[in-house]
Amino acid sequence: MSLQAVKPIFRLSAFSTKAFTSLEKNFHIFLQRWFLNSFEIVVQPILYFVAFGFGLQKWIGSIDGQDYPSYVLTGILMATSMSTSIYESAQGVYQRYFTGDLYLLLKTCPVRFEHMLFGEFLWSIFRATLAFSMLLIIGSSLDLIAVTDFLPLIAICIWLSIFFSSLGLLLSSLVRSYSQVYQYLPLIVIPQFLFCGVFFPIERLPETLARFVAVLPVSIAVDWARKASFMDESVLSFSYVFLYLLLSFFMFNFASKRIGETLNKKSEVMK
Amino acid sequence: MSKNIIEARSLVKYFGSQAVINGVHLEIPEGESFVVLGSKGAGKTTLLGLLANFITPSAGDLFIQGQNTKVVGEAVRKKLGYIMDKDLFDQQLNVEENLWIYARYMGLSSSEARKRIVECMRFFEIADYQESSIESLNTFEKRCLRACRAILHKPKLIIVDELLSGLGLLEQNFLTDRLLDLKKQGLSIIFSTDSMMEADRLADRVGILSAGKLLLEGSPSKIIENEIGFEVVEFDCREDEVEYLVSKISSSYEYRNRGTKIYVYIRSGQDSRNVLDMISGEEMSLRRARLSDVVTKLELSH
Repeated sequence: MSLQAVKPIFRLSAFSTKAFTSLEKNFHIFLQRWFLNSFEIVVQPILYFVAFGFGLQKWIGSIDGQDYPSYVLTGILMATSMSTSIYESAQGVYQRYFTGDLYLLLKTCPVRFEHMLFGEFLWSIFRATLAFSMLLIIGSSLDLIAVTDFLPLIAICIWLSIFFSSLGLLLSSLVRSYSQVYQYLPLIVIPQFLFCGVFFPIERLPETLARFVAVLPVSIAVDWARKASFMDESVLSFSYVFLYLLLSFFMFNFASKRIGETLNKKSEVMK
Repeated sequence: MSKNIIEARSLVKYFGSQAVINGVHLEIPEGESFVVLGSKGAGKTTLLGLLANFITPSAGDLFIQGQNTKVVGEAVRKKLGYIMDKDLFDQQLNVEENLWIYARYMGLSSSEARKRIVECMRFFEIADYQESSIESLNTFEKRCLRACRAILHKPKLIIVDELLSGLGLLEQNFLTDRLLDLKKQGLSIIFSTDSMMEADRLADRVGILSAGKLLLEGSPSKIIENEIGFEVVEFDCREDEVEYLVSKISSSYEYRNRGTKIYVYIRSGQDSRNVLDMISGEEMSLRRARLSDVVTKLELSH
């Protein structure tokens, strides 16, 4: 069966090394104001951590044998991974490709919009991992996270960022204006931030809600991050990881095609 | 026989139900400069966009260096530099960074990109602005930067859309000189402009586009000779005189009129003095025929 005959949704047309140029460009812009940009991505999680972790420690003490600051930090790490990746991919992509006409320049180059979007996708994963790593270092310096846990935690962060970057791209491919990005993003981020076990165990929620929340990616990531070893995980838990990766692949492919087509049409009308 | 750098076969482009480009055939040999002329709305920008593989044709084929763009896809863009009629700079990046990123998109390695940036900026005499922000550049400097960006990857062909419009005479001359230098280096150039003077300087051949069709094609002198002749008498008359004067002139001369403005075309062998006698008393000018007369004549013929 030829590649042409394969249904478009299964094609890997966006996966190209050309994508690294977008990644390179975004990284270059990030480095121009590295201090400010780094501060920007970690300040909010730090504020949450200090306010809740230390603020409530006196009343809560510990949960499941973990000190509350340590408990909250793992949750905030995962929430940061979610929010940084989804905001960067949804808002960043919309801003870079749909506002202004800079995207037209890409059409004079031997690249496809899909390649560039893959670069944006990688960039949002990278940015989320960067924020995550900085928080890990802060957590470690406060003796709340062991250095030996860094690698598995980063692996969970990357998995989570893959999902939310794809979701962000999907969102930017579906909205009609920049303000809609801002309207929809909190609807995705805030419920997961509040109910997916970042601040308290899911089991404290009403049973039906808890069952639903337990299968959301942030809950799975938070749950994994708080366990000492992946060996304790059930097959079901692993299957969710693959399920979300598969879903990410479809979301990314759909979004990059849709955005690519929209930009192609838009660039021709611009003439 | 020289090879064609670009070959368009029956190119058609529809926007909605309107054919903006309607069956354009074009062959441009390597090293040639071809100027597309036409009035506003004739389809120049769309034609250039099609030739640059920027716009997808509704029908027809485009070959760049013998490769069908439908088969090669976006990879063919590496062979050409397209200077659009828009600046398209990233305001977050300075001049050098804008060029560097573009060079990377074009597939140049980092070191190659740096080397070419220096060469091209020197060529367009903007090397002093390497670290400048985009917003600090004036219109002319931005045009130089647009041109500089388009040749970073050493294309074989550059497609230039209205690069000179709105610039002063000296600035137009400077950019035309640079384009001529590039032509001497073997680059083919497709150029669209409203400036007939620059078209005259640049063009090996011109194509005159009207309502999406390439009506005329050839060397400027040949086109002028065939379409206009040798001289043009241009004059304004009173509204009540138009019919009378036109009937007198039309028996011996070709003419076109736009309201009370009348253009009389004098072929070689014809004597312009006869026309001058017919219109004695009117304010008029007698001059050598030029490319702009061809465009005006075609415009008034439709």
